[in-house]
Amino acid sequence: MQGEHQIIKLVYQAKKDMQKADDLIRSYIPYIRSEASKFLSRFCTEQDDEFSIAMIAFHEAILGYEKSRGSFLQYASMLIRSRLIDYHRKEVRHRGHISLQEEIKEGERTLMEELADKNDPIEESVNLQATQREIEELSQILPQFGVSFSDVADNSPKQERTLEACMAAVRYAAANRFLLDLLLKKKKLPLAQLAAGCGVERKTLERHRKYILIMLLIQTNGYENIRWHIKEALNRKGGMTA
Amino acid sequence: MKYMVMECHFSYAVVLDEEGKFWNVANLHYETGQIVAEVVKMEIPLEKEETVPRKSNRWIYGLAVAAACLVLAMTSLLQINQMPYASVYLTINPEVLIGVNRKDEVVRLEGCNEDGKRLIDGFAYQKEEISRVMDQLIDRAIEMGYLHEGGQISLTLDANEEWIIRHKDPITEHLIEYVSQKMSVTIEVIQKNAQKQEAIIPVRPDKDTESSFEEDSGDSGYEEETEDSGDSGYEEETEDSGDSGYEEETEDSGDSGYKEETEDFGDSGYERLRL
Repeated sequence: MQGEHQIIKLVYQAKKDMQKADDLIRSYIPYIRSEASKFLSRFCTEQDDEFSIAMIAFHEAILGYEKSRGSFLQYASMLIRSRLIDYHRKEVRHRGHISLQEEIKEGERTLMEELADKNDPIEESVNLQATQREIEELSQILPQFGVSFSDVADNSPKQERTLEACMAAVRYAAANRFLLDLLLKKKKLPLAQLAAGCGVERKTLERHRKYILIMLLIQTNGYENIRWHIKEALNRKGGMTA
Repeated sequence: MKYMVMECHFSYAVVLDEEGKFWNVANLHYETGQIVAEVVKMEIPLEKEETVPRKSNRWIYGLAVAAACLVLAMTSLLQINQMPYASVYLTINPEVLIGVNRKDEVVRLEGCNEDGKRLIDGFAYQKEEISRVMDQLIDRAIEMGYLHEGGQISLTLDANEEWIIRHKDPITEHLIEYVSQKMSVTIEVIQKNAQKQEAIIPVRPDKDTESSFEEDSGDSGYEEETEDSGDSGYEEETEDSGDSGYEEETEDSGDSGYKEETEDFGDSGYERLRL
């Protein structure tokens, strides 16, 4: 009984703290690996995609577990199995398609290299490094506002209507730079001004404040590559260009 | 849809799609800044986004909790049966303490080492009979890779003599019967803190027996020979059965620290073990 209490306690702590979730997952690596191996009917290494799928399924189990679901490990085992089944079904659908990594002729270039002939690999590498620098810089600023990328993923609107409402607020702020300056200066989201300016309910903006905050930060100087990636969303309805 | 990898964690990554949505996804060996075309998104069974907070009559819940606490307190005062009367240590590599009451119901389950704690995680045992709990723990141990062909199960009985005399054989026989259906292992039964006591285990002479017990264990365990059950997978080890695959380390099976010598009373058909 103490063991069951202990793991439940750890699970509930991990629900609120991503670091604790990672720690709990690390301590159950052998279990996760054995579940994936059971599914594959062979030893699953950490290089296998199935291992990563099993890990995220275990993470989902942590986040979705309630005591009413019974034993945590049984619940996690069930989730791992169902995720692996889904993943394999998707992989089976792709069978019969040619891989871009396939060599056109033995010892020659791959199909991807052939198709992407016009892309300069050096330029791509430079872009990647520039993007990494932007992301690194952004991730260093986020703690000043009390948010993290993981928080934002949880807070990110998934429904189209809500997403569009939040984007309207972002576009409004991007078009009115003083709001971005206010954000950087006071380290607080100017919700009242945003709500008044873009016509979105304050309640909606409050509910997704972490998401709006990070999107506004992306609108500040220095994040061109990230803005370029989401230019379609930003340019909708004639908003600011990336 | 393309996704920009924003952050990589041990078990997941955070990506940003072209619509401006952030997602937690499986980390398929990603690198920050990488653009990927397909991801495996994390799906949390309960969706919390955009739920309207419900007004609740909190005082009712408080009252219910208080009432439940009162009932619990009253019940626990009367729960003498919940006090452990005997303890059985089940050791495979995980070591687990099973406490039973006078009715042989399991009232306590505790992992004695890290593997033991993992073995019993989430395990429900209330009001279960000890043999059933042991069966389920063994199944779990097999499932989790702790127990495999050729492995060893040790039972250490920590109770008064009367309990041990009443329970040792039934528990041992049950364990043999249960495990023999699954695999061949060595089973060792030890009485904790035994001091020069003797236990007589009847064996059936003149039969070729197959058993996971060894005749010359010599150190700590009780030995038992069963009838010939050729299908059981148990093998009887003699001095010459070097190919049985079973070995007992007489010097080092130090869970009990006891060494036992067996005396062969060929006439009576019994083996007397001096503890």
